[in-house]
Amino acid sequence: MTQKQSSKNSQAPNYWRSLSELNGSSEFKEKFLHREFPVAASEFPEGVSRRRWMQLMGASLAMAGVAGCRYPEEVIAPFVIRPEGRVPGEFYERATNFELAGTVHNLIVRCFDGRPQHVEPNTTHPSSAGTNTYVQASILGLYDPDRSRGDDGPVLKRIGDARKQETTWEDFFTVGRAAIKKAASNNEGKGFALLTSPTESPTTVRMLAELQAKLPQATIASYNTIDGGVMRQATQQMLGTACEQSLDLSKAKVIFVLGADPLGNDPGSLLASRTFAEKRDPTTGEMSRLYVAEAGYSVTGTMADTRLAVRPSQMPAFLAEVGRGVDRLKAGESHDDHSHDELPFNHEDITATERQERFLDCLVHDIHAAGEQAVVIVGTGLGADAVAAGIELNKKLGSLGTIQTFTPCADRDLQTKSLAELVDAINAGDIETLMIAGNNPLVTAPGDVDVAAAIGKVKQTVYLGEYDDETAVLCNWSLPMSHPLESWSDCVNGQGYYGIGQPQILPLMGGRTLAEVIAFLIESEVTDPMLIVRKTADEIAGKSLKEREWRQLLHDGFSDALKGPAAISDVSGTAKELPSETPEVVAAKDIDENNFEVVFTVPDGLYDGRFANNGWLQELPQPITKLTWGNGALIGPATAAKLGIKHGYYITLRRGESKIELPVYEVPGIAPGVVTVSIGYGRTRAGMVGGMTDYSVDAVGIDVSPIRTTDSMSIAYSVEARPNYSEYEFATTQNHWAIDELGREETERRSYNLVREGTVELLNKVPTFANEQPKAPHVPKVGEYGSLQYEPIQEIEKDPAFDFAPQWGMAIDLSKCLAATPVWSLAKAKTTCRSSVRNKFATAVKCTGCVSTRTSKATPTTLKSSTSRWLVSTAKPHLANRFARSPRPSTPTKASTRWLTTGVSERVTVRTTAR
Amino acid sequence: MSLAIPNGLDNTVERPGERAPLVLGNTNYHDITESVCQVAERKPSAGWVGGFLVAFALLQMLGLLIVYLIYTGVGVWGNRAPIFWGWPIVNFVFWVGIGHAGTLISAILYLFRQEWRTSINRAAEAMTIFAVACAGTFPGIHVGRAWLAFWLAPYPSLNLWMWPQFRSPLLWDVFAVSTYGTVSLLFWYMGMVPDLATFRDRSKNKYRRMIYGLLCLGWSGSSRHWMRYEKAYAILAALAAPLVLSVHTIVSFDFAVSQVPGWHTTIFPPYFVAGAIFSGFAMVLTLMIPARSMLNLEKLITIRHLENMCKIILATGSLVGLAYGTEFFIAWYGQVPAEQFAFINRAFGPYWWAYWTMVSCNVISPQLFWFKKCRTTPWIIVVVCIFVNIGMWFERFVITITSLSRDYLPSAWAYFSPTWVDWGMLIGSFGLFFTLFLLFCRTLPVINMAEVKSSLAKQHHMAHAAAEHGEAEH
Amino acid sequence: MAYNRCIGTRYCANNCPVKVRRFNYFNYNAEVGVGYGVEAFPSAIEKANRKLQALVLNPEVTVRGRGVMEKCTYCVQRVEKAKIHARKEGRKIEDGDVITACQAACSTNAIDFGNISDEESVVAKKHADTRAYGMLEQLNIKPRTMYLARVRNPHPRLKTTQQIEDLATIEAHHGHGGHGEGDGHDEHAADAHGEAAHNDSAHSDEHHGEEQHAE
Repeated sequence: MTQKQSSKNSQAPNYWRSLSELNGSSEFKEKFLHREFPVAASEFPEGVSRRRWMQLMGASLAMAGVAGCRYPEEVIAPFVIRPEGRVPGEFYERATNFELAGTVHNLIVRCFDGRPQHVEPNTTHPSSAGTNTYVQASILGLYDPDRSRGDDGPVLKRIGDARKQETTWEDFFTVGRAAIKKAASNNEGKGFALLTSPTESPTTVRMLAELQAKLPQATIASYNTIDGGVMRQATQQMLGTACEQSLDLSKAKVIFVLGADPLGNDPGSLLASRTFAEKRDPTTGEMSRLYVAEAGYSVTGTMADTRLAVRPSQMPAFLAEVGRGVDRLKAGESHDDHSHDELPFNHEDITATERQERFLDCLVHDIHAAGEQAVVIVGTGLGADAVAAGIELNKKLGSLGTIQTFTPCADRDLQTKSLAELVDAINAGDIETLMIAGNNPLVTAPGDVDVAAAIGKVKQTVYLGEYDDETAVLCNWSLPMSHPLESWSDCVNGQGYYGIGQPQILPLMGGRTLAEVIAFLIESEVTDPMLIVRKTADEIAGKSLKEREWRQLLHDGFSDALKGPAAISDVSGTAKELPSETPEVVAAKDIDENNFEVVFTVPDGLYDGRFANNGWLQELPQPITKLTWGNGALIGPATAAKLGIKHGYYITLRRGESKIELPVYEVPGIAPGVVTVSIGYGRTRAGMVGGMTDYSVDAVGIDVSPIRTTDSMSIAYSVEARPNYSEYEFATTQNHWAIDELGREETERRSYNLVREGTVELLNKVPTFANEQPKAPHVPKVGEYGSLQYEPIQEIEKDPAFDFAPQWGMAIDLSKCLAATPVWSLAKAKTTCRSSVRNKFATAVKCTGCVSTRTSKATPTTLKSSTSRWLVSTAKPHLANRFARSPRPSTPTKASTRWLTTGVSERVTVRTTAR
Repeated sequence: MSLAIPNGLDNTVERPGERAPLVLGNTNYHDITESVCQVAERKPSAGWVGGFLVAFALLQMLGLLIVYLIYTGVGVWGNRAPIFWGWPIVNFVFWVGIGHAGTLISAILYLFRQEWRTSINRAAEAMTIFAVACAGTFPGIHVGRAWLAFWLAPYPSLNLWMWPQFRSPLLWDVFAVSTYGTVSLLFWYMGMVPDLATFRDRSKNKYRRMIYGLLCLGWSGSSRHWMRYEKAYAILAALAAPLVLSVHTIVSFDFAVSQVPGWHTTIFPPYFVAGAIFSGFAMVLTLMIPARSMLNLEKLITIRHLENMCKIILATGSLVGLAYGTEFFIAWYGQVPAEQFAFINRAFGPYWWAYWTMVSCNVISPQLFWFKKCRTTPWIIVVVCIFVNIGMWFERFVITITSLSRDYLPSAWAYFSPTWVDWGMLIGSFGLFFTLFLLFCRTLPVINMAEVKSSLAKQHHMAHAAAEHGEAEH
Repeated sequence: MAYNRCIGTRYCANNCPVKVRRFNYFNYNAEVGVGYGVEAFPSAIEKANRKLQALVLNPEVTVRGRGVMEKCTYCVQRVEKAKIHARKEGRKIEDGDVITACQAACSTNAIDFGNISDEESVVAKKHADTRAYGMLEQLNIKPRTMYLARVRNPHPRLKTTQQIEDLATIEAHHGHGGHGEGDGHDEHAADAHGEAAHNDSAHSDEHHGEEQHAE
């Protein structure tokens, strides 16, 4: 039916030019406005899609201020342009704060005509520091059509084996309230369990606490999908309170990073990067020194001044050795001068042991010399004991509380249990009603926890999530959770600033937040989502915020008066003794195929898999490998040679009874006998982009959780590795290893000129080193204008009449750029290592490039360099992938890199995006 | 393979003081008319019908692929960054090159009074037109928005308020190829007018007579007609001759004017022209040798014709070989690192197979033509010519794709792989070519009867004179 | 570039030495309502998914159809907005008037953008920095985006072969000013530089060269 006909048939115009037009129809009001959700399809004006209709409904309800609707009329204070100055068609900006993928962000959202379109950091916020991939992509997540529950209404219910019984929130609340009442009357709620994740939202914590107050025996379980909550354990042990780490590297002179990724994927990395860069200004400012010892390659590793590959099992001993070395120096041990007649650090004649000794020696001396300006950052993957030892060492050095600070978590006082304890309780038959709030535990839980079986044992299960995912499909109820851009929320960041998350649009899919759902279930007196949050804000402020204060808080996104608890720098506990032997170095020839160590990394884009349905993020090339649409087993060339396997062939990793098979991606610089793999892939019910096996959309990548266990979610030790000769073609936006000898040599030669880098010493000796030969090719400057021939444009450029016109230019400081980082690998990778690394660097430079910023055909640019236009092209990867002729993401071929994209790059098809 | 030469005379042997005959046997004017007209007049042979069906099917495939392409987007090809130009441009340049022989044979050899051109010029010209048609297909569909391809034409546009970019070699290309196509078509058609009149006169069918009658523009064979015809033909030949040189020169500018290492060379114009003549002659031979035996035209298209063309192939093939060597020398001598790498990469990089296919087909295989045996044995000629055709296609592949695949920034490097659409379109373009060629064989005079007759006249005259001379000596 | 005038010959992309151009090989916007053929019929555009996805489109940035080349515009929409703003206020463009999207997103503040003809602007100063270099300047592409060379700060004992070699061999030969036609030394042969062009005092250092090229 055409639009024309439809508007004839229905009084409500299907395109509303104004709200009054939309609201003007009495039929509309009668038929739709007084119902929360239109139920029967026949009531829809024909020609308007249901979802579109819901949006219109939502908008009209809110704006018309109809009593009884969920979102009463509420004014959101715009950030920059006040309503009276608002120009239709012009964007307006609003401050917001939300927690996304484990980190709190303080943001400005740019909206057009009521649609959030772009996210930027809130630069007036004291802790603002850029945005990351997840934040940029959150806009795409908001408009993801797969987020909805199909065409069957917003709430799904299972009856028997049939799903998709169309139902409503009210139906659920009736059932849910009954369950709560029953649980409350029966042993104080013992039969009720809620599974959630750690949160920095005081409102969520408050509502969970209210739930706990109502059902004191109920199980509230919380688990961190990435590392299982190591940082909380360590801080609980050392500081007495669960805290989150925050790094101010601008105060650091020497930074030692052990198995962590503070500039990359660790929580709080944006602020750490910003402060790190403040101390990396070789021309006018100061330069800190960054030491990194890590197993695989991280972004932090690429930024290191000196990097050493260390097996994770040796890292605690390594840390202990550093501690002992510093102690020795403190005790007055003299400084040996080794600086004469040494081979270069990456010289192939140096043994791995000598290299490690020299690294440790220099590191220890530097740390000692820097004193309280030195900091040690230990990765949570190494476990709570190692992190605690790191805290202890920083305390000793004096950098705890200045460089490394710990802010108590918002949910520090909440009594929670672990996922394993919850599963035990279920297996014991204690739980009658289980509610799971997001996180898709079926996928993100460690392999040794059988979540599916546990869900099967519970009589009544409820899932609240943004997608109808793998976990949701097993539950009796699948409820839509609202997206951070469409919900009222709040959060406390690592510096203790409290911030409100304002909805920028009404929930497109009729979702609700966890706090809201709890409020409804426990029949709290306040169920309005804004008022729930506002009540928390009042509590934090210790008084009832005046309307003016509230609006100011919304407007600014923070308030100096509203802060969480202060950072803790008193160490109350002691760290467990670290191993006393010196860290062992495994030579390439001694790699034991039965003693591999597998490091589980967080992919740049998918996080724990929750963003798998975001085509733009799938398309985003991973750092180092430039891999898109899938994961691989990253191993060093020496390790691969020892195993007798090559790039592009599968490797089987077995741990106990479980095994996984992944294609090998050779990356020089990975510690011997170590494999790094990305989590979050292999989802079977992510959506039409990230994998939906029910609809023949294959999963993207391979799920590695079978060998990931509760005791160590980040690293698996003692894994058996065996070659497996099936072949695989990676969808990378760059070939590193498929490259022929000739190309490799040329790449290395050119990269030296394309990517110019030097040392502080070189800069002091030759400040213009970047423009001297052989770094710079000789460019003859001849003729009047310094170029080879006369060009009319030069006349124009010199014409004073055009002086008023700005000449736009950009400068990119590679000393600060995290994306364009060559790595001087210290592993035994010889020149190949450098070339590959430079190759990567050259790319990055290109993409952040000359006048332009792109990656490949199908890929979006690295997030860091792309944002504003991405909104448009964002849709592309997404689409590209669904495009019938496109290769399925799960079978990545060259083609998939070709035009997915990018530039979405031509396939790196994301296509492109842009600046 | 021995070929019976009807009068026992090997017309490839040079006899002092004597011109080799270009028409063999006791052929008279009527025989020529008969043997040429029978091609179109007799019932189509099974071979022709089969060939036509195959070619036509391939043409349909090309059509469908073009529809698919335009509907879907040019991403259905293997092109991708940094190889923004892939097979379509390779095919375009290949076909433009093929289109060189016809007008060269017709115009330049005409101006140089090379009589041996007469038996082959018509088919070669037809081939030119068809090859240009094939070539012309590609640029039009190659652009991202094919429905706006007409924007390449300089016309005062109210939509755009602007002209095309006159500094762009792509625009020059549009001019060069369309001019060449137009002039070649006119030249071909003009030359055909007297023969079309013959066809008209021999037509027994009313419609045929009407159509040929229209086409031959009322030719009556009067002296005045002949005089005008000769003048116009000479003028057109003079016009067409520089075009032969200009069209591929300008096509080469598409590459030479750019700054892609491996493209940015001054040798391209002569090198492209030599290569084009080379491939054009090879294609003429590839088609003419089977055609002459299938259509019983051995007396008119003699071994001498074939041998002469082989000599040209040998010469141009060696020129092309020299150009390959010169490119390397200049790359080394020029000391531009990117340029040096581009050439080393061609020969020893990932596309080494394409490069060495090209060298062996284009430079090594024609060297067989130093041997007379090879120049005069049709099957050897066909084999070598097919190699040359393959080699010349690869030459364009090597130039276009290897240069683009690795230019300045290693991070942008990639390896090209064609898709099924690429293959389909290459094969489909042959379908277009052969469909047109087979239709031509059946409907138009495949040999320039009028001119062959004139050379026969000269041959008779000379034979007569020689006989007289001999008598006198005796 | 003018997107609506582009017909997609892709010649510019072939010629782009830094390969920053990207081509829309397909219609990547089909699902957001930019269709061709039957996809463009209202019924197809009315699909629910399209409706929803169309909301993501940023009206400040045009949606490129298929067959069109595109590249970074330095956020031309922000540039234009800033220009209008400055003109309304009767002043010249100043630093901070235009924050490009990449600049805003960059957590390390590595990117600066502005008016290079204003010598006081941050970006002009950065362009004048001793570390500033342009990519592929030898092609006379006169890039507007300059890079500031990366500087690392390794412990002196932890320097790599290359770092040691660079320190030993690189000399301040000539200033920024360039030199006349008379300057004849080997022009582009970067690989030949080691010995030929720098056969001066620095070369006494033994470290360089051999190990470097050993592999």
